[in-house]
Amino acid sequence: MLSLEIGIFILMNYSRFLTGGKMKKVKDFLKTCSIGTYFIFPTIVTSLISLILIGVGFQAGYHSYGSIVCLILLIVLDVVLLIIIKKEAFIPAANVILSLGTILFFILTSYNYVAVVVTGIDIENFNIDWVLSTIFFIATYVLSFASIFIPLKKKGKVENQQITENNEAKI
Amino acid sequence: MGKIRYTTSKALLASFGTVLSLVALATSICNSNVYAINTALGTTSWEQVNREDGESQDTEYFKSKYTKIDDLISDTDKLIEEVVEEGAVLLKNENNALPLAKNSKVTTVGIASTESTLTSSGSVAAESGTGREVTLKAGLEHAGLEVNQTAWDFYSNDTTQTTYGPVRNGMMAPGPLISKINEVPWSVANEAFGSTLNQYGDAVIFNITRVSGEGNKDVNRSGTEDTPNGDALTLSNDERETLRALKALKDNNTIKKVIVLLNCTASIDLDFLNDSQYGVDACLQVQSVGTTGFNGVGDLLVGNVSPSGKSNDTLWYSNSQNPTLTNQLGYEFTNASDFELHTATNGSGTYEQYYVVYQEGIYLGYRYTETRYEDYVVGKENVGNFDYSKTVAIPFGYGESYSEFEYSNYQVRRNGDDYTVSVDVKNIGDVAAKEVVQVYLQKPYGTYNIENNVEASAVELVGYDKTELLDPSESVTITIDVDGSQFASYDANKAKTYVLTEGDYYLAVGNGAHDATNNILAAKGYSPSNTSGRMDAVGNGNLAAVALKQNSLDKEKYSKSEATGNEITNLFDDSDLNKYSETKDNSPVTYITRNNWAGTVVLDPLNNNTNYTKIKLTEKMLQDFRASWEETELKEDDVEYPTYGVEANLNLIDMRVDREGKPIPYEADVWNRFMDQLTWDETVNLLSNGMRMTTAIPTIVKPGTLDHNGPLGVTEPFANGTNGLAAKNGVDPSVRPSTFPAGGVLASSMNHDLLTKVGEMYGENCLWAGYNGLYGPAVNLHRSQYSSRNPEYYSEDGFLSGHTSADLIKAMQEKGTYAYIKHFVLNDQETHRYGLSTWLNEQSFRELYLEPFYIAINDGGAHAMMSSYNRVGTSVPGGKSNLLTDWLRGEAGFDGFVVTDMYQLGSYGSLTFYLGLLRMPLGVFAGNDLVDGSINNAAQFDPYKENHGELAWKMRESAKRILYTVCHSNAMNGYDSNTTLVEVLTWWQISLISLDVVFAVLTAGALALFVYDYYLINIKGKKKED
Repeated sequence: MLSLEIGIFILMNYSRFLTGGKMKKVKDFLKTCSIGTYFIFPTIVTSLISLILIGVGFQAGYHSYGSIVCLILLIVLDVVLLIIIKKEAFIPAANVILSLGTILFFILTSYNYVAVVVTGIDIENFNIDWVLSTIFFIATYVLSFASIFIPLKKKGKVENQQITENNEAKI
Repeated sequence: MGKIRYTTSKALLASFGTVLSLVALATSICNSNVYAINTALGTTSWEQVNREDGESQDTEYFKSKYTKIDDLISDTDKLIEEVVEEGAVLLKNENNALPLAKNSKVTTVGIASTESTLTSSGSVAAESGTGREVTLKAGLEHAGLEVNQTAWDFYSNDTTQTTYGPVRNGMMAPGPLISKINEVPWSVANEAFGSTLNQYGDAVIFNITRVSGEGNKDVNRSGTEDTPNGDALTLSNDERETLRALKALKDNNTIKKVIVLLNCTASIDLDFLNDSQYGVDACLQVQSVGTTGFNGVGDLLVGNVSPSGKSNDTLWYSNSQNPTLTNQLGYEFTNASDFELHTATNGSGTYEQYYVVYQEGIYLGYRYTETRYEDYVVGKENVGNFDYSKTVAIPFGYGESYSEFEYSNYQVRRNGDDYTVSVDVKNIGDVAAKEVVQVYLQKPYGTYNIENNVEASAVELVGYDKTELLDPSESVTITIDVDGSQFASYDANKAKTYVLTEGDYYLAVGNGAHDATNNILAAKGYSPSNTSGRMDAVGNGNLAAVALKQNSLDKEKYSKSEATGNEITNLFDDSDLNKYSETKDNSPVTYITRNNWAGTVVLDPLNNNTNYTKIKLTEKMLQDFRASWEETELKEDDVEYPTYGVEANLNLIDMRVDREGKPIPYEADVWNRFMDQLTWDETVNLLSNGMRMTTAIPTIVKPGTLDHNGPLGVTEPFANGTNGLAAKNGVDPSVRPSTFPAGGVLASSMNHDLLTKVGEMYGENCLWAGYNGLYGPAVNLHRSQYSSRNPEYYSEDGFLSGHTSADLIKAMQEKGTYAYIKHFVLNDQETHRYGLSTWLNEQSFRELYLEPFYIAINDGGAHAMMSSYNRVGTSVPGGKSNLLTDWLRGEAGFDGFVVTDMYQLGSYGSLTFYLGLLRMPLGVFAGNDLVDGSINNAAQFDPYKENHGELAWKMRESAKRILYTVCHSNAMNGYDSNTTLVEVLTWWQISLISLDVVFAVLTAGALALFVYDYYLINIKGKKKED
């Protein structure tokens, strides 16, 4: 339920940002975005879906609070870095670390689950949400990893970014 | 270029960091499962080094009689056939329908004819086949029968197999265990058969199956789609239709006989057995038959062997007539929602909200049916509405034969406090056959019993033996000893010990409990004629006799333990709701009493059970629930700690026998010197890691052991155990041991010699597979027909369960395999097994549920035991000192060690399930010596390194129990005084460490590169820009 509430909160706030007579700001913001920024959005979406899947399957015993914390941190950090403090350069690193953390916690708890519950008993125990969780956790990680390679801002649109990219060119 | 390098450094860092994290996690997980991985890969972390100085000696203390695995397998397979031949029970054989003539042409019908049941799930399940499985068809052909190929092909074809067959839901899946029986409709099958039934109509063999097994779920009494009432243990509509159709075919002479095989691991309603609309001529109960058991079935059907099995349970026309089912599955405390409880919805978690009350008291199975029957016959008041002939289809202990036996010269002799029963048994039939002589005891039920609620069953099994094969006209005298202590009843209310109440004690023999009851009634002068037909058969009063006339109450004779000499008194008031101190909010439990059957027997109306005993949860109960985990710390004390780490140069092998070759007893002083050598850490490590093993301790040259979860024998490939003869002899890793039949088949054989052979074969299989201990036998009772675990257990009767296991254990341990009897105790069902709060009175606890454990310990000599997941009253057994210390050691005289059930500690951080809620130091304090787990357990002992001397001594005692058991096991094969143990890294450990190092270096390099590039771009570059 917590994940649902967070998802709804983000969507509502983001939709208010897109509407309410602020279309110009939105357009300006989108103009500054490169393809890399658009890579962040699906990462947030897969994270949200992952959170929902954890919520659905939590009682089964193969999810941990660690994964939940990682995913919530990922979403919150992305929103804060992208929209509020505009330090999007840090997003790929944060996403890789947090999505990796999600997977590690998931592996550990799934291992414990297998070791504790399943050993010696019928192997009919993994629900579909475990399979879906695996897919979405990996998707989140892959998207995060891919965003490392893609520029987050269009050249020349933001001063700071320009400086950074100029510096990169000098190396 | 710089941008590319910066991106590359980021990518490298992310990649190497990711791989490093995964490899580190894998290393951690692997290191916590060293033994399991070693087992799987055939590696070892300790190297045994035998120095050559000194005299060489034979160190194979436990020898196999086999030199080739093929011979072992061949003998095992033959033994499995023999077990089925002796343990299958012929329930009905009208007009001598059986045996079939050899070369008869038969048709096998039913989806279970091809999807038959060889074993069940969970602990007894083999992961895959051996390639030696005998099908029903092969078994029949082996016996010379000709089988209808068209019918066989129809049931075997892919379309039939995918369309029909039981629909089962596993432990985590929602829905009932068996949601559909899904038999092939007769119209479909009949069309496929064409005219072949005419040609193969000497007999139709209808195989019916129900499979249950370990997995958190019991068989469902509702929710099965295609049975008349949703009950999974009654014939489905299509099964009934098939029988009706076969009857019609028999009536029009298309076929000659209808034979039903009950290939079920759960007892189904036998309402069809004698119902004329179904026309069953013969019925053979085979339960699960194991790898080659269908060969035995074939032999029985054609009369190569005459059936001699006797029913291990009471079989009912309708299971619903069994009063235990009213309180069977576990129910929610009526006020559970008022508390914050540990709950789980999918079967994996601890249940604090569920309980069950054994309201039937001692009247379980035949103890209920026979006792109420006798009271009905003699015309006692308050018997109520009870008709034995419509209730019991097959009495406990009953079984038919192709021959007949005459009993004569029945004698009961008293030897001190014990008794000897003898009887001549003559085969008066036409074929050679075996017979089981069963001895039943009747205790008096008089005023003292009534006033103090000391219940007494009309009959209870106290002895049995099977004859050798008797040729026609051959006779033999069977002599059976009966222990006088069996005569005592437990009085939990007044004397608070075992008593002999005033009155006559009868000993009788008979073909099952009902026959014995009638024989006792006859001895008392009752007959059908003088009871207005209430007595359903003429008994033979010559086969019953008064063994003891007790003139007054004796509460002294059996008030001390025969095993230990300790005084016996109430230990389990905390498991009886009527005595548990904090249940004043609850109404008293009304246990079934024979003084008022009508007022105390409550049957469960199927699908609408509101008659179960209702209980409220109290704060005190909840506090007691959690005492073994969350809220209890052991009190500090000033007891001096044991001595640790002394150099005494004693190895474990030195503790086996003295210089004269005599076994060194457990109490010998030298054990103290030996135990002084252990350090605190070694002790903790030994007690904390028992996931189907015990750890190696190099300083005392104690080898690591490997145990196997196999209550019905070994199920994993032979070569798994690196120390096994199979691995040492290069046996192919794919070669698997054969699967033995269900526990009920073993029990039904009632053959001590056969069970000794089975136990010996368990031991041989363990020697070849490298197992030192076996998690089994399992001696919980068949309290309910719906308990999924019944295929592992033996019977509804504690005496039969105990002696079946004792025969196995003695023989196994002769081969050096220590037997973990399990599950101690009251783990009589699967539903809510994690934490189910189980309540019962002390008389039934002792006389029924503890009895098989007592027998397994004292007659079988068991040296290991597994405690169970459920709660006894409010406490998990592993944390219950009145059970593990006062009763198990104090009364039963057990000198072995106790391991928890699997991963019982529940120390898994954020995980939502806890298995049994037992913290190991509290377990050790109570008498539970080892944990069947390996994760994070040792740290639990850290707070007790100081100021807890009493615990330290108990830890030392626990370690000693384990070491003593291992010392006398096949684990010591190959060890002598010159042997040492050297720790080695396995190849997989070296590989993992190498990977860790490589990726740590690569990650560090990538990090350095990234920092450098970041510095150039974001700091140095920015400064230049400024």
